[in-house]
Amino acid sequence: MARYSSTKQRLCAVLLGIISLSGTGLAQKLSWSEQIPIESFKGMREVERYQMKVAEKHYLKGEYKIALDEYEKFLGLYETSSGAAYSQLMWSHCLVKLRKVNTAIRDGFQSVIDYWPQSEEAVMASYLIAKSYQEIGETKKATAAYRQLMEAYPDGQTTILAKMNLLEMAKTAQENDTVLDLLEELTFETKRNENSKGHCEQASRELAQFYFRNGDFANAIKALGTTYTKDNNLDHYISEYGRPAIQHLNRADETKEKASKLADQMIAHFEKSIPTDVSEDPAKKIARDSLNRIAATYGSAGKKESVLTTYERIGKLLGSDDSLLGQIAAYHRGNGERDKARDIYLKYENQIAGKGAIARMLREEGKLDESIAVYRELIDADTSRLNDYLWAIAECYEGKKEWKNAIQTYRQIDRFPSNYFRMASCHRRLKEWKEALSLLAQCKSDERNAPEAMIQIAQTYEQAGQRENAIKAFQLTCRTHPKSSQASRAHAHLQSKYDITVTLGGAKDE
Amino acid sequence: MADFLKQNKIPVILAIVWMMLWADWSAWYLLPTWFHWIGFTASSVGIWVWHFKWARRQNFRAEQRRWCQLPVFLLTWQWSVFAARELGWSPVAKFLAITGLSILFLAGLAAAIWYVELGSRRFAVSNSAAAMTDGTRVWNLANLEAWYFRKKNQKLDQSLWTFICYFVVFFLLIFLLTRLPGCREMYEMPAGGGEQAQLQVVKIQKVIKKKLIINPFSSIIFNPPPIEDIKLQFQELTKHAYQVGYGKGEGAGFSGGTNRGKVRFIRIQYQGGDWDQDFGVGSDLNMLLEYGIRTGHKVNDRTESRTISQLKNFPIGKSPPFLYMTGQRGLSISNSEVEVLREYITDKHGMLFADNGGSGGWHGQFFGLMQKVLPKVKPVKVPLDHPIHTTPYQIPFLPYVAPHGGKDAWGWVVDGRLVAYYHPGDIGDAWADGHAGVKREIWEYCYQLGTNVIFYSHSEYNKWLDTLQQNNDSAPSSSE
Repeated sequence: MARYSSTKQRLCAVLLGIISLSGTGLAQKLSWSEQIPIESFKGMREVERYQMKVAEKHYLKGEYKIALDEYEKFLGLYETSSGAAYSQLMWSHCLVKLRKVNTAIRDGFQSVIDYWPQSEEAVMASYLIAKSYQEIGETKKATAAYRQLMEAYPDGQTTILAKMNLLEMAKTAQENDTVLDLLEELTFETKRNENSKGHCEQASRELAQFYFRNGDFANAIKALGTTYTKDNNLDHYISEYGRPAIQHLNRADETKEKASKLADQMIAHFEKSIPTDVSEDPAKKIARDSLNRIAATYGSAGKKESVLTTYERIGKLLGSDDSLLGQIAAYHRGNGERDKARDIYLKYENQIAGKGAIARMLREEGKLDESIAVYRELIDADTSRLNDYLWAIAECYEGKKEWKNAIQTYRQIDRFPSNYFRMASCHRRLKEWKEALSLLAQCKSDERNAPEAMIQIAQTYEQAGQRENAIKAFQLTCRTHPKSSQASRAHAHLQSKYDITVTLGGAKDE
Repeated sequence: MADFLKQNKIPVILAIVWMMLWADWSAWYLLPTWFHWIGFTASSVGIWVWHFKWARRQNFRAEQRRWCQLPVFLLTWQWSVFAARELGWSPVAKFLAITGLSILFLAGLAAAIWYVELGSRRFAVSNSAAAMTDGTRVWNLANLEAWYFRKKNQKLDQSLWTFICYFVVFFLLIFLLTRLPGCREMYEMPAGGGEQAQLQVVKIQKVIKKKLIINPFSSIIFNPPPIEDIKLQFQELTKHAYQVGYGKGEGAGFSGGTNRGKVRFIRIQYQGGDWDQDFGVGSDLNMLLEYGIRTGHKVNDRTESRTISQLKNFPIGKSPPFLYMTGQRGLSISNSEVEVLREYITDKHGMLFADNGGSGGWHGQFFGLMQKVLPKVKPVKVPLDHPIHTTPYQIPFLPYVAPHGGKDAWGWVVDGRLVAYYHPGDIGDAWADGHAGVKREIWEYCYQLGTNVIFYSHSEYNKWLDTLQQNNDSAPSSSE
């Protein structure tokens, strides 16, 4: 419930929170900006806390109008209470939730600043004014408010958030200079503590991405170095952010040189990470990861031959396994050398995984009969994934337009109602309307899928040329599930095709 | 020719001045209205003066004198149409335009017949046999020997051909003259003024004076005070206390408007979907008429549609303040159309009013379109206390027919102005006849919301026109 500024206060807050809010179980739901400052809470009398608790209960239930009245009541009854500023702040939160943001800014947050200017709530109110302006698209006012806040409270947590929000706005407005300034400020200049750490780390990653895209490897490393070390994912993030940048730079002729240089720098960096002695497991892991990153970097730079060479190097250095074979096979598939890929899959130690990969590849190639044959072999070899294999076979039959075989296969699968929907779809292809309708009627029994089943029933009637039944079914979808997306579709279809308007109830005061 | 120009210097100059003014008034929109008033009035007065002071004193034949009356008629007729339009008397302007055109047509037809008949008599008197013996074909319509007349009904054919030729030439000329502005169009708001304020409802507050209840059987003798009646007191202003509009001016309207201006409802035509869902009579028109009734602004008597490319035809300062678009299927907009929309929104200060006509897909497609049109602007949920939701009507919640795209209105804000307003729930259906079966309360709010959106776009447009005007006014002084 409370915002903490020290360990002592945190402990105090926990105790007070347990005492005052025991039984409600709702305190966790209040967001950071909605929590009461510890000082305000400490100074409140029991009767005031009770009133606050009542208001909060409604707030957490989403009954914002009632909560609004309760907070107002608090202000009326306990105007001089230490919780009054917080109550005014929450009153404003209620208005925001009721989508009256301008009123919240003008009459709510601003009042907190005007009446309790020295309070912690006033700082929060200043931040929330800026945030509210941002949320309603008033970017100029939001920027001014954030800047004012940063000047007034340079060390507060709200300042970090203000910077992050300014960064977001600058990114949207494509103001690259401002983006760079803010990222550098957050990465290199902002003191990292419990509150700011996460934001600074995020900024460092974004800054690294920015430098990578400009081919500036040294600065990118420097930015990532503020957050990660060699032993703590530094290489992972270099690879993660460096490779997309290489691909991006490779697209235009004028930046290809930059891409090549960046790739070379990254590979040189990863090479340095490979241990000379790989007899121990941890060293093996490091070597494998580094070599994989090198292969991936070659791939991003478009040096395909070097990718294969690197995989061979891994095999020689660390020995071959299914994972490596999978990567080599994927490389061949990427080059359109499917036969080579198939040969490699056959070398898998785990034969089932290898056959599964072959079956998937055959499906991709459109060799559906062969794919079905492999899946049948898999069913004999591995019964634990029977449903998955049958599903794949049924989809192959659908691909071959052998609807009856597809239906028979789907029927064997225990995956209600998905298989019933698929069977109905196949029956519709065969123009067997009764069968399709019967299956869809069974799908209706599943409450979650009922709207989809109903709209499909209507579509089936429509395909069958039974206009009146189709209209009735569409109308029924609207009536029984007015809030579903299917009702929306049915409503629109009825209007556009049959010129029939059905009410979905219209808006309600929420 | 030189002699003719020398003799008729005044009408020729007046005709040129008048034609330039007319072209500007109907197509170029460069000169202010007061300049048109002065120019047209001066031309009309000038032609009358010329006619009485000079033309009538000349020793003209009756035929020539009649020709002198033509420019007088033309200028006077056009002046009357201009004046009626500028004063906002649309029916009068329409009547004058049609009547004048009919008179011109009949007078011209009479003149054509008269000239053909005159020519025909001359040919009959003169010996035209020579032409026949030459074997050359006679083309002259006035000559009864023309080759395209039937031998038995030469006179009848001559009359028919005269009428046909005149008819074709007359309407060809009219067509060409009305096409003179090219494809340029203009949108003008209705003149007037008013306040951009929320309509207030009359609330009657009961003020009850304290009463003393006395037991008549009490042993104590009271001297009961007079019990006053309940007073009814108006606590708030009624909605009649001000008019809906913006700026200073007589009647409800906009200070940047003109007397001939009207609020129009223009829908965007686009490729790939059903832009014309509920188009025209029975929906858009209902909304437009409701807007007129509720605000007192002059509205057009029909709704319109334009393709996105046609938006280029509206000049800056005379373009529609808002455009409506709806649909439920595809939304296929080319890159050049995206450019036109961007220009319309940013340079021409327009606003898009999008309404999801029935699918979640359209929601995504519209947001995708806006991402292309305004890549630097992020959509935001429009709060319920935004002026678009409070002026002139206070909308307590977002009314919708079906929540095809959620339950919140979205907006794109540029420099504090909403440049696009997205309604997620088929508001157009609520305006339509039958109101899609929703409750009266909902469709009433839908009309109110439509009124607010139209009014907001016009008010913002008016503010922008005011700013442009102020900048123009201050430009010379600042340079000094």
